[in-house]
Order: sequence, then structure tokens, then C-alpha cells
Amino acid sequence: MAGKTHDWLEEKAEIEERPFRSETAVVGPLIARFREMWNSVATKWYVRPLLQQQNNFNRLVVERLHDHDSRLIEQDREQTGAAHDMAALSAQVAQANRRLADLEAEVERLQAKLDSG
Amino acid sequence: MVDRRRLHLAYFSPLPPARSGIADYSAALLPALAQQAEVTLYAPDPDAVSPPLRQTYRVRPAAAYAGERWEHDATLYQMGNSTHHEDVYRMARRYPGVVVFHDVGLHHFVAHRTVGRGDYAGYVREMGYSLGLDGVHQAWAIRYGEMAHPLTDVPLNDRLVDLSLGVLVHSRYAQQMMNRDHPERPAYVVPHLCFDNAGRSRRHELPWPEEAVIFASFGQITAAKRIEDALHAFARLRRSIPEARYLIAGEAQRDVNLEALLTELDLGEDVICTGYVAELEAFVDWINTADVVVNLRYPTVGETSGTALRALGAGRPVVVYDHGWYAELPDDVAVKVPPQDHEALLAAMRRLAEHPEERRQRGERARAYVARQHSPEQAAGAYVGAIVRIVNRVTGESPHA
Repeated sequence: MAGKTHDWLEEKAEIEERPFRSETAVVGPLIARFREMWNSVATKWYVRPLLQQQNNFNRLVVERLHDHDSRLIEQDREQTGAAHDMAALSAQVAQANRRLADLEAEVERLQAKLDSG
Repeated sequence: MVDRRRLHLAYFSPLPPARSGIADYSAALLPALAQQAEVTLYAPDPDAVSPPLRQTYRVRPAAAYAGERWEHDATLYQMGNSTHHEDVYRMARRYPGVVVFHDVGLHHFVAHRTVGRGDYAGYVREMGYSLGLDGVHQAWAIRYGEMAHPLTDVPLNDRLVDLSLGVLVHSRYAQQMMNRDHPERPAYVVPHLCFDNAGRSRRHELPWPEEAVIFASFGQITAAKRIEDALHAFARLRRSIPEARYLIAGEAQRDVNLEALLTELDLGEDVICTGYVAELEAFVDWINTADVVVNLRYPTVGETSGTALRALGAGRPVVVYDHGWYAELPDDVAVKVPPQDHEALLAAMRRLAEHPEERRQRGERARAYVARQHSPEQAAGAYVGAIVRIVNRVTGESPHA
């Protein structure tokens, strides 16, 4: 049996700040550094709470999906159990029908015997 | 209480002319089974069933089964791990009955009918059913390429077993697997059957010398059947026994690049591959052409090899890997080597190549073993006995009819 697997969705749910990068030759590192500084002044304190809020939401969504999946699995198993029980009942009904048919035939046979004798 | 004489059986299976081993199996079982029970065959299209079967048995459309099921004491489903079982599987889910698991694992089948048709949700559902939330996670990881399908580790048979009233398998190994995973479901062993093994050698059709020692493998050539192991051992064997030859009667599947393998091993005309053999008679003839049959399988998914049995029934010595059902073969009948032990495989092939008397003796014992244990009559008796027990268990009667 395969080992326990990490949930792919859970791993992807946590979003993180990304470092600034620039592909520009020579001055690229300077540009990235400037953006980093500007971010720490202008946007960092605004974005971080948003990230936190988004991560909280993502975690709740993952938990909710796990909950849905668990319930679907549970329902699927219960439904399968019910289908099994239905099949068992069908087999019992089939047997009862066949036994009834046998009894009817026997009654007819006895009746015919009584009538003739 | 159902007794053996009165058992009425609805029978679902791939049937000839379907290109399926289980279709051939059913065709061979039915004459013996019909001696002991009233059998009605159900097929999606009765007109597509081979005329001899239609003339001999009552064949009804599967669509009529719902209204007729009350006529039967039990419904039997012959289930395998190939695409030929789509209709059987669908009916076994809708109207559960007694299921014969020719392969304990159904992962290939389930993956094909879900992922293979773009129905990933269906695959997630089946993995979830079998493994719980972890199965759902695995299915998503597979979808995004982070892991491979656990084709042999996860049998994906749980839904069908849970639905069924009882299961039949072909080996004690498979029965133990069922009892371990589904202790609440009765599991009985019915012997795989072996039939029509008399054939003639086609040695004269091969461009090989009369003294050639012919090794052979039969049936669909898949990666799990380890033709690579067999041919590597054969290539080494040929250095000391140049008269050894290898016959492959079967079709290579996509997971085996036979041509590249033969080129790599430089085996030239000492290996002949016939491709798919459509006629059973020809297939049996090729088995009767072999001096030694190499029938490897690794890993096993609890299957019983009809081809190995057929070769034993034809009086051929058979080399197998010593696990699963193969381990249950008598030691003096099959030559068993530890799975993937290449040295042991080479030694076994060498011994059989060098000792024609051992080949003859093993072949005789193999033929007697199959006649004793795997005749259609033997199998049919076990079927009826097991089905009666299952039905009586379900209907609350004594399990010993």
C-alpha cells in the first residue's frame, strides 16, 4: 500500500512574498534593490496583512474541501453498503418467490390428488 | 434453501468472439456448469455472441436482466482487469451478486475507464473510496505528475467487493488477500480451469534445427510478464547452449519495446515472435511446440495464469517466479525461482535445457496435476458449491447446503 501523501492543494495554499529580481544587465541588482526599498516604504505594510488574510482564507478553503471530500467518501461508502444490503434483500426475495412457487405447485399437486381420489 | 440441483444462475462475462482469455474461459466452463445449474447468459448484444454459444444456452440481452433477476438464485460476474469487462463491471455495480475476481487488482481497469476517458473525478472518487482522504490526495498528486499510478499497490477492488454478496478467486493467495482486506465478505477458491491442451508441434514450421531446445513465452507481452528477464537469461544461456532458441507467441504491448530488446541482445533469428495468435488451436499448437515454457510475472496482482496452466496441461515444464499463485504450484511440477533472481532463472533454464529427461518427467507430472485439479468439471463443482453457500448465507440458511 502506498504511503501517506501530502495534500497537493494544501501545499499550494500558502502564498509568500517574493524577492524582487531584475533581468536587466549590469544595473539589474540595483533596480531590484531600489524596488525592495520602495516596497518596504510604500507597499509592504499594506500587502502583508492582505497576504495573511489570503492565507487564512486559503487554509479555510482547503479545510472545507477536506471536509467535503471526507463527507463524499463517507456517503459513497454508506451508499455502497446500502446497495449491498439491497442486493442481499433482492436475493432473499428471489428465494422467497421461488419457495412460494414450489409451495403453490405442491398445493396444486395435492389438490389434484384430493380431487381425483 | 437452494440446493445444487435447482440452482438458477444469471451469468455475465465477456464471451467469444471477444479477444479475451476470460471469454475463452467462460466458453470452456459453461458446458460443465450447465450440467449442474440452470444457466442464463446475459450479454449487451446477444447477436454478437458466437453462434455455438447461442445455440447451446439461453442468451438474453443485459437490458432485460432487471426484469428477470427474480428468476435466478444468484448472479455471477466474471471480472478481470481488462477493458473487456466494462459491461460486466457496470452490471455488477448496479445489481450486485457473486463476483469472480480473475485478477484481485482492478487498478488498470478502473484507471482506464476513468482517467483514460478524461474522467479524473471518477478516478479521484475510486481512490477516495479505497484509501479515504489520502486516496484523494494521491489522485490529485498523480493528476499533476507528482507521482505515478500505484497500479499494483492499490487494487481498487474495494467498491466491487463491498457491493458483492460473495467473491470467488482462483488461488489461496488471492483468498488470503481478500480475507485480509475484506474479512466480512465470504471468499471461496474455485480452481482455474484448463482445457483443450492437446495440440500438435509446429516445430517444422520454424527455421530451426531439429535438435533445438525451444524455450517459449505466450500471451500478451507486458512489462509485468518480464520478457526482459527471460531474454537476458536466454542470451546468456545461448553462450553455452548454442542450440537454444526462443519462441514468443503473443503481442507485445506498449510498455514493452521488444524490437529494441532483441536488437540490444543481438538475438537475431534465434528468437521468433509470432505476434498475436487469434486462433486458440494455433495458440495451443505453439505451446505444444515448446520444450520449456517461461511464464514470469512480477509483480503479481493476485492473478492466476491461464497460460501457465495451459502449458502445464500440455505437459510442458514451466518456469515461474516463486510468489503469489505461482508459489502454490507443486514443486515437482513447476520450476520456481525467486522473483527477479536472474542467476537462479538462468540456472533453471540451463538445467532444463541440459536434461531432457527432467523435462519429460516434469511435463508428465504437470499434465496429471492439471487433469486432477483444473478440469472444467472440477471447477464447475466448486462454483456451484461456493455459490450455494453464499446464497444460503445471504438468505439466512445454513451455509452447508
